[in-house]
Amino acid sequence: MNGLRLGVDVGGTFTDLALYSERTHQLKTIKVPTTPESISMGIGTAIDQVIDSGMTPEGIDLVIHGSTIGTNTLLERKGSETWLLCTKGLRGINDVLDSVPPQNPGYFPYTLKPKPLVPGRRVVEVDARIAFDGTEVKSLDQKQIDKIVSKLHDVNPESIAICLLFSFMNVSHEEKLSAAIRARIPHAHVSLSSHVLPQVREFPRLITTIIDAYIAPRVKGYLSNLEILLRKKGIKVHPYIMHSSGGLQTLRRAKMNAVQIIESGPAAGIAFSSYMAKTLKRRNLITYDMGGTTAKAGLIVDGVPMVTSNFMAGGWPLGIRSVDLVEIGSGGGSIAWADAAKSLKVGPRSGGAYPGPACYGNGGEATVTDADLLLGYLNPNYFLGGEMGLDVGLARRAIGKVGDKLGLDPEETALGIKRVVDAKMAEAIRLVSTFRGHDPRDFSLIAFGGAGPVHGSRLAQELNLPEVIIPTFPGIGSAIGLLSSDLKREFIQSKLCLLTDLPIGELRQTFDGLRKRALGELKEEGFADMDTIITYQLDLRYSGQGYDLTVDVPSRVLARKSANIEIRKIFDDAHEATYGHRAVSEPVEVVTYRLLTRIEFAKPDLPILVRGRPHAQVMKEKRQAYFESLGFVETPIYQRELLCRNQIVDGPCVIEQSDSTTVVEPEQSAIVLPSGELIVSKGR
Amino acid sequence: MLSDTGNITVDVLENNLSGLVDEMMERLFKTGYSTIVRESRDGSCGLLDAKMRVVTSPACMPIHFGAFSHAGKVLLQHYSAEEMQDGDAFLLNHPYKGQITHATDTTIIRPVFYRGELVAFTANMEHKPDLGGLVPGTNSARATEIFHEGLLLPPVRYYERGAENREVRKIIEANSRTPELVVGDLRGQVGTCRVGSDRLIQLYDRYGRKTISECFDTLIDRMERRIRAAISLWRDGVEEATGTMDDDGIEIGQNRRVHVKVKKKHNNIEFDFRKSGPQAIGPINATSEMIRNCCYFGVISLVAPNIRFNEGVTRAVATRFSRGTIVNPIYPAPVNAYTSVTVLAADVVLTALGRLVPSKAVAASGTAGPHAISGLTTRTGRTYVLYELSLGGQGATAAFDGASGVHSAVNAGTASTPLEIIESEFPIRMTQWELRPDSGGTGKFRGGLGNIREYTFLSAGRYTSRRRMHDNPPWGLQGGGESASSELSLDGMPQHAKVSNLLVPKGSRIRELQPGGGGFGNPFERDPLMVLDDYLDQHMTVDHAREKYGVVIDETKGVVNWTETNKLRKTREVKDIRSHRKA
Repeated sequence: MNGLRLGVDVGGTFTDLALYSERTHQLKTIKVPTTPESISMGIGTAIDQVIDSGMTPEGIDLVIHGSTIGTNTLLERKGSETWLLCTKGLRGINDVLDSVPPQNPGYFPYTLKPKPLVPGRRVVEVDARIAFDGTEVKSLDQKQIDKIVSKLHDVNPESIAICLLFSFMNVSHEEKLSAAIRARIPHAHVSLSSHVLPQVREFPRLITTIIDAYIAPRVKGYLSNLEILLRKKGIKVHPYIMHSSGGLQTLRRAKMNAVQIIESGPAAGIAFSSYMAKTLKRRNLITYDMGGTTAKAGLIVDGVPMVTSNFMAGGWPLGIRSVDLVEIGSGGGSIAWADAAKSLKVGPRSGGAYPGPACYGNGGEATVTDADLLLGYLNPNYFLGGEMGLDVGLARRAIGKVGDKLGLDPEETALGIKRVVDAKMAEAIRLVSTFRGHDPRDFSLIAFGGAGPVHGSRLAQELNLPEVIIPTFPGIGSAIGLLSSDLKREFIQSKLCLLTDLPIGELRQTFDGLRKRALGELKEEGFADMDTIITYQLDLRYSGQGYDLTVDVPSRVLARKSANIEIRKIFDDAHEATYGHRAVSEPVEVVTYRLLTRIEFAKPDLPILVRGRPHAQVMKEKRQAYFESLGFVETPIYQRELLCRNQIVDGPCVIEQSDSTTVVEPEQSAIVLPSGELIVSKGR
Repeated sequence: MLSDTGNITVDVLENNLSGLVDEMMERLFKTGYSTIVRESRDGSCGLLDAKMRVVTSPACMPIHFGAFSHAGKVLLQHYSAEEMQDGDAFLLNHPYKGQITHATDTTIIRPVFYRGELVAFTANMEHKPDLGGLVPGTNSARATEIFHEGLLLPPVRYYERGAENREVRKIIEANSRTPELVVGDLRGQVGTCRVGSDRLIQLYDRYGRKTISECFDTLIDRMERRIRAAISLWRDGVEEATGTMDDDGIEIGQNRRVHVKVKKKHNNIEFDFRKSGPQAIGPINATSEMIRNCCYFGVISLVAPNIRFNEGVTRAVATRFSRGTIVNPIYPAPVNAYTSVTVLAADVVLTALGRLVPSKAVAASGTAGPHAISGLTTRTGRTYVLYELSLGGQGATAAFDGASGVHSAVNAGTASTPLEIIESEFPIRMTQWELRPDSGGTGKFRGGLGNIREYTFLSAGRYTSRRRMHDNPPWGLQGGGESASSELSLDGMPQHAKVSNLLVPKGSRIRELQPGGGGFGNPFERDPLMVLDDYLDQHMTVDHAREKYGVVIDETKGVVNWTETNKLRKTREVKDIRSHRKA
């Protein structure tokens, strides 16, 4: 055991590597540009840098990857030419795309819908039928199977999605078709809706299955290339990949169910926050990750990252479980403009990496970064550690243009931009917090990504959050997150029953069955010897409702005779917190049993880079910066690395480091934790 | 100099208030019991100030825009502010007194108190599967007065200081065929209003009473200015448009027209509906507030589709009606099929505005209207009501084909019921659901396609519908054609558009053909490759492509026969494209 662990996070702009040594507790980080044309090329370059720095590849015994391959394939519509097998007469499920939100939400006189991923010409109808209770209404004979498979064989499809009505109640038709296709067209990928998303409501199941089929060949190819690349570089271990709901998965499993890794990249950011929550002993965190084009907010409650079953990927409502993120199109590069009624808007258009903000000097328009520069938060001479100069004059001119339309001067306009962005972000945070029944005041904010720490302190005031955590390396959070994740799986069984009618024995038996299945599968994957932590959950609803709430059922509750009554109370409480009412006289239904398994991987013990003693030149300079309650004031500027442990600096001030800038508002102060993080909170 | 940031605070609060209403919407549907609520999302929420002015609306369902405001004002006539207490929730559904769509759209209004003072109201409106009346689903094609259209509730105090009023609940339960669903959904409405109210109070804590109440004023004023500024850029002029409605099912063959004359001068705009047809005996009337909402929708959709409706819009848009017309009927005329009028009114408004602002023209949209299917469930033996909205096709524009499988934009946000939910909960098998080939109006850009939906009854049941566009399909613009008409059949036998309690024997099939949208521009100018795409995807037949678009398709190869196409397009005149422009 050499104890080297490598986290590889490929984002839209940069590929970040974090190499951690268990022996020395040293952390090495590398940032190289992402190469969209061949994503593994960027990884290759970064690994070469690791090797050049003297690490032996054989010493690496854990590689964990976070990727945007799934989501990019979907967003750029670069997936496979996919065919669909659907139930006879019901091709409308695919054509109508009901419940896909319009691309032009609002009061438009017409609706814009996306084009289906599978056009009607690639849909084949299957004349067989399963009823709602799983009984066969019309059988699927061999003759028809042969006919369908011959037809497919002729067109030689790369990928096939099969989604038949009520297949989650009876998988036999989908599986028969799949087996026949695999036998005759072995190179074609096949996704079955009864495997991808075995639950009621045909459209979410269909679209999730289609997207799985659509991206699977690309994802499989990418992951295979990654394995080859790692082997070529001399790294022998099998890598793991982050999946959408925030746990690690073997590559083998990821290839079997590609849609599950669609939010792999963002999930790494949540994993990082979750790790920070543990090391800093914070139960509840709001995660705030602001980059160049977007900002994302997520939630960690009682140390557990929130996941959702209804999340949007590229405008498509997916039915899989994913970290619960609200993403808004407001990042540092988002463009500010004035509409016809002289109201200030920010985004969703973005200057992207090129031309970027006006201050980059590439002819860009007024952006959030320009406003942050004009307000004195960003240092024109120390952006990315001084690698890139920012032009204040260009920023003022671009913002002035917007201001002219509003009758405001450039500084007023810049302030307006900041406030609008902060308000949008506050709304996004409310979407993941209050919207889900949580009071943001019980939460700490963790701000990361390049622009996160610039806006985090103000957001905390806006939302009445007690404190903001600024990690030591806000810019490479996601790569560190990969190194601090666990192997996670979820096992589900749907079985409808009234809670009052459910004998406690049967409740326990169902969970026992799931547990046996889970342990069996984990053993097969080679995790037999590892401790498995099990969480039990139930999806419940008031009888007659159509949607359910997932609640945790602690095993101590399951063990009690009064389990049903206690579960009932857990549900009533959760329902009232979410929907504003409880219905104690109404019967409660159990819909789905969920069993989550977690195998813990050792967490990194990150090096503490904070100085022990104060540094004389910790305050670099003073410059004019704007704060709402004060206007423009001479503001102290600190260098992050020169702050020492337990040092407190009072707001208003700005703390600079090469990968980010932290703004501390008046009446706030920042304290340096012994472990190096900054905590910004209401002043002394 | 920077202290004057009042405007920005309003921008900030505008985002907060939109978020508040969106949160109410999402929870309303997720906590719902009936399929019409939880699957079709037929409801909306709103925030009103203490004067009952709408401050923020959801980004969908324009047809509910102004309704809360009138309902609220009626509430204040019945209960003074002094009588209201924290935790109260008021319930009403009276179409005339409250200017509410129809009685099945129950409305909850809940006062919000801040430090003991009444500062605002949260409200929502949501369709109920059944509130009594002539037929299961309440809304009958045979209704001739509103007393046939379900239990009428003037404003009543449904919750008092957070506790349900059992007397009111028992009356409602006794008047519904599906009491559990209705009461469960009402509970969700009240809970959702509470969620919105709690959130608003947090904003008051943060910004203070004065700032928020000023913000309400500013948002409304700013909206009026925004609308007027945009209108002032349009050319001055007078434009008219007419749409024709199918008969009401009682006076067979008696079509009625919805007519609008739009007068635009400087920054004023007026919609005059006085030349619309006389009110119907049957339920195809709509109260004038619903028609006003169509006008607000038309204007806002052209100038500011991305912002939220509020009371300011109503100040910038004037309307005129004559009493006793289908757009302003006299009490107690029935109104349960009000969407027959509003869908058409929205389209005549858009057509007239499109003449004023040609770059924004949209052809007419098609939806056939909702139906109610009922019977006894196989599992519990209880009465079920499946109340469903139907999807159709939208009109085309100068740049896009109309969307297929959607509701009219004036009802945006609603969805159909998932097939697996229908089959799991009701004794029905869905034997067909497909887009309907050739149903979109022809054009350079074609109308959206309607769809075909077929219900096979696994046990005997009843079917009620107030369908439309059987005789008068949506029109095209600028040479674009009209869509295919709606059709309805029982085991292949054509039915009248308006049917009440039609008995459907076990094993029989109800088949609905929904209309599409109108086309835009000359179909002979449509890109032949787009015609080919439609053919390959089974959205158009070869004959339709040849006859209506002059595109000849080689069926065996699946390609355009360019020689024949060019010949056909040159030699044939465009004769059969009916332009809607009459006035």
